[in-house]
Amino acid sequence: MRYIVVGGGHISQFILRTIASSDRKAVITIIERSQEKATVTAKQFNAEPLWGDLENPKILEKANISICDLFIASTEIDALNIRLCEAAKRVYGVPFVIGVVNNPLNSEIIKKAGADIVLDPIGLALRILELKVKRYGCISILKEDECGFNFSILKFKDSTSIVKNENIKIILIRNGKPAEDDVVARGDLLLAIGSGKEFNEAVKKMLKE
Amino acid sequence: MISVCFPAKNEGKFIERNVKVARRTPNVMEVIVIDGGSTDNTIKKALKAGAHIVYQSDLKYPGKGIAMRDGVYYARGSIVVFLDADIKNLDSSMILSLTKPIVNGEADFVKGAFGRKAGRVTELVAKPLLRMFYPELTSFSQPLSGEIAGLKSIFLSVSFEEDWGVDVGLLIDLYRKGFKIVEIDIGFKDHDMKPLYLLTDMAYDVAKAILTRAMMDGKIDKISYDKYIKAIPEEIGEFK
Repeated sequence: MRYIVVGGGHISQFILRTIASSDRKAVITIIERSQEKATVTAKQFNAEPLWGDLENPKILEKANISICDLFIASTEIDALNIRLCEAAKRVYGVPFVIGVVNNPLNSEIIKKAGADIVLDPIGLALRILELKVKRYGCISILKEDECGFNFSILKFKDSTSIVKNENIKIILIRNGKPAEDDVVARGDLLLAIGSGKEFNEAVKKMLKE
Repeated sequence: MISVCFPAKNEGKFIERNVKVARRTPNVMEVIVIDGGSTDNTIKKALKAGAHIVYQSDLKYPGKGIAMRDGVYYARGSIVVFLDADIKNLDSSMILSLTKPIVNGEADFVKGAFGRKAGRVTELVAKPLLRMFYPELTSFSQPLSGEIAGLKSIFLSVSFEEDWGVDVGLLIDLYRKGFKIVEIDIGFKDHDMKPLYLLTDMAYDVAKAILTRAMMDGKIDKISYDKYIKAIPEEIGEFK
């Protein structure tokens, strides 16, 4: 696959590591403002470096964005990532666009601009924190609008029946281990995977919301 | 075309009115509110008035410079105007005054001066330091004014200080790059002033922004700069 990664900072380093180790045939172009940063980073990952004004569409064209399979905007400036995702998706029709947000509040905005997937490291970390501190309710670990399906963890204050339908798959965790039961008890966790309206309705019903 | 940006944090009181005023100003194509983590109704009111919202990439305080930088990247207009969100008497003429010299090709960057006494940080910190290191800029009556306009391209050519040093930093950097800069009277600006005890950090940031550039231009030696400017926060942290 052909990849373009814009930004050579901390998050980009890990994105590039993941691409390089997961796709041995990856053709990667790194675009950075600084020539030195672009060159040094590209060398690490056997990628092609490009540098210059990230606002200028010419640099994306120079990176052959029209034949790119996966575009990732991961600079430290959310507003720039939003505009880059918008250009990649709406102007150049890149099949798969990933936008990084440094501030979780920008997730919706970058999604609307054209990101197929939003990488939101702080938001994800906060969900894990929520899992630890929330006594009961639904903790959404992965959201449908981010990756096509929901992965939620449910904590209960009262026992309740497990709701089943075609759009939700559930694993009951009791005392830290998977268990079989049709009823959850206080302290149990439910791992729920699914999508669509039925998923949300099943979750609401179990939480008695 | 013009993009008007309001860096804002908890500015629910005036944001709706100000966004509306900016939107109905001729040639304004968009109004952007860059939110620094408001906990009041700023976002709701700005959206209601028709603003585009983007959130500061980094919610640190003070982060005015981060908000301004983000606003430049988000803006689609070739001219970007920044206005303080707490102006009580904003009207379209302020925006038109700020942009007119750029539209007419007489300036690349415009600083707005307004009809009130310049602030305390301006008089006691910015102006004395500018007189020492950048006397060419002493003609600006309000070098810290947050009401500015410029070509988007020139904003993209400089780095933004993240904190309160952003306004004076932009002025010096754009001057050093040789852009055409003018100061324009935009009339009376009615807004709340900060109490004195909240001005220490602002004064520090402004002083740091000027002294950093003086050091880069060889007007202060780097050893003294490192000793007295960069070392201050660490020294406070290691207070014994």
